[in-house]
Amino acid sequence: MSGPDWYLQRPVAALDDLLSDRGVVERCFTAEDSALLRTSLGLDESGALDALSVVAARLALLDGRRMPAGATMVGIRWLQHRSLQAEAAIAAHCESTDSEDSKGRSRVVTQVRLTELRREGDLELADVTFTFLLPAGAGSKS
Amino acid sequence: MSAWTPTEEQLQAWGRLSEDYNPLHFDGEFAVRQGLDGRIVFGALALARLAAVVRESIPNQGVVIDVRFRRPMPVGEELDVDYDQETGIVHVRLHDNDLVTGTVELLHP
Repeated sequence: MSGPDWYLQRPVAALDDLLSDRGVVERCFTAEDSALLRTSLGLDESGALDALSVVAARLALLDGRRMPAGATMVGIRWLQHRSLQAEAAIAAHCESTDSEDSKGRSRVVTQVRLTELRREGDLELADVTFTFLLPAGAGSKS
Repeated sequence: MSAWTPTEEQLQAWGRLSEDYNPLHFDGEFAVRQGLDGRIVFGALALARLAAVVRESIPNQGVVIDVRFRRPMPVGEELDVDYDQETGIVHVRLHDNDLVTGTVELLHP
């Protein structure tokens, strides 16, 4: 299943979900994923796949949930240590902090550390840090 | 500077890849009900597009790209995506209005 209707059936991530320790989340990106990435960016078959880091990080951040209504992504800091040239198995670990702004909104900063899992040894791949503003009252458990 | 009008195919591909089918990106009426003028482009997709532009100049070096999303990026508009290698500044603009701004820093220059 896919599409907006499917998406709207998924549970909403509450603040507690975003702040919880989800452990290490692994994701194997396939040739199909690489093709989708290149299509989304208008790249040819030789185009770099670095942006899979951002995708992997966002998937780990939400862990199958969707952002609450009114949530706003205000920034992303993306540190890519090495180029990614082929589909890969990526492990992600999230650490989140939150604070309240003057309007009662939660400002959540989540750093996602990504490692490329390789037979010959895992390699540091990227760090992706998301900053979101959640509407007031988004702190209740899902 | 490169002109970029995200196509429906590009948006669908990114939505499928990232499992993000937020109706803000696909349903104009839904987006308007949320107070927007219409559908908006994924922020992460815009970042990935910026990175692709950066990579044209810096193909193999580690980089840090740090962006702030200032305003929603409307679907259907031609966006200016630019990376100034001298200043390290990136932006996505529409009609000279900054929608996304940021910086690029090289690792181990």
